[in-house]
Amino acid sequence: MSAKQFFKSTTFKCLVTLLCILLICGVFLTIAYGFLEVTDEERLSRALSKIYGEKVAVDVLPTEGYENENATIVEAYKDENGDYLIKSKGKGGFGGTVTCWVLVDAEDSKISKVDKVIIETSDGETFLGDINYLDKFAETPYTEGFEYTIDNGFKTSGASKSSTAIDNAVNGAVGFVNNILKGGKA
Amino acid sequence: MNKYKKITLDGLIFQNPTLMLVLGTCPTLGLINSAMSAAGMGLTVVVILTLSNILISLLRKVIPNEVRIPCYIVIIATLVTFARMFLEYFVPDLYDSLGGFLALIVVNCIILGRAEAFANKHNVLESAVDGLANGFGFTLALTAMGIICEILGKGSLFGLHLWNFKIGMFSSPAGSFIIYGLSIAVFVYIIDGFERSRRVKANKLARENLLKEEV
Repeated sequence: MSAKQFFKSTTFKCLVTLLCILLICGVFLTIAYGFLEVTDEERLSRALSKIYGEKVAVDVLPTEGYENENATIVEAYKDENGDYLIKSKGKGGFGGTVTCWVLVDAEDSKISKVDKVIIETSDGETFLGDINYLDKFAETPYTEGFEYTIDNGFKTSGASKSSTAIDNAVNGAVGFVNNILKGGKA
Repeated sequence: MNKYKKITLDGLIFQNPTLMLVLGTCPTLGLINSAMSAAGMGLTVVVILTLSNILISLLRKVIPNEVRIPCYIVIIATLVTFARMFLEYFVPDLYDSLGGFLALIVVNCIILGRAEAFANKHNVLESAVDGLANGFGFTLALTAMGIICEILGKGSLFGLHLWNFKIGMFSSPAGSFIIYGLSIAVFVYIIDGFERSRRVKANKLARENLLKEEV
């Protein structure tokens, strides 16, 4: 096939059409992203208003990749009340991880309780079920060395695996805060 | 019958994508445990389906037949990506509740199906009406099933607590599957009955006309 024949062929027309549509769509999305981008700061401020119900100033704590076999600490903050807000990724979910915001209350250099747990994302998690028992974390009293295992009502299902990941995320956050309170590196 | 009325009735009732054609089953089973998520998903699909039908109808003479499916997918994926950005920016709660199902709209059979079966062959206005009708047909079906599942599974309606009685199964995909199956059965039974009575009326009229001609 000569060059002239190629440029007149259906193959060339198909390629040009597809590339044009790709280019136009790409340009459109790039412009749209410029206007509709949600920055990390904005995500944090949304999470804070969801957790506290108002605007609260927080200090960033270095996490330095804090990790145990069941959880990874993604972000950590200390709020103006001296409580700790931890974004913790719990392993052991139904084919993925569950990332939660965990608000840990601290008094006299000791954890007094887990005040609030909110699910942020579930990467690769295929079944989160109907998670409506997160208030139970705040209702469960905390003593040193205690590990949370909240009964979710589903004993053998994908939801029980989801709740394992949530328990792991909360216990990871509690371990991280304990580490800070005992003078360990944040 | 006016052709726009026919397109609208087909999309909403007689060719309802969810209850008659059983398309878009994945988001249906995943999201009807909450009426709010179901309605949110439905409305997102209305916008994407209408826009994709309009764009594909506009470009139908430009896109070569050999690459029409990749082109449709690129257009639909662009609209879905834009919808995701829009929802994350303006309605983050709905964005969170739809989760992965929002991205899966790209491969939703209803959207690609309408592009291939309708928008590809009709003008812009007809395609837009078809997109709206099918989208609202999908939304109404999803929301109705979402209301049933939420009342039975959570004892609430659109998040408002009604009573303490609840059957946990209806909050899970298994319960959604049962409600979906029963809804299809009831809907098909009603439509079938309606079609049968319409046929009987038409036959009766034809027989009467025949008798008049013979007399």
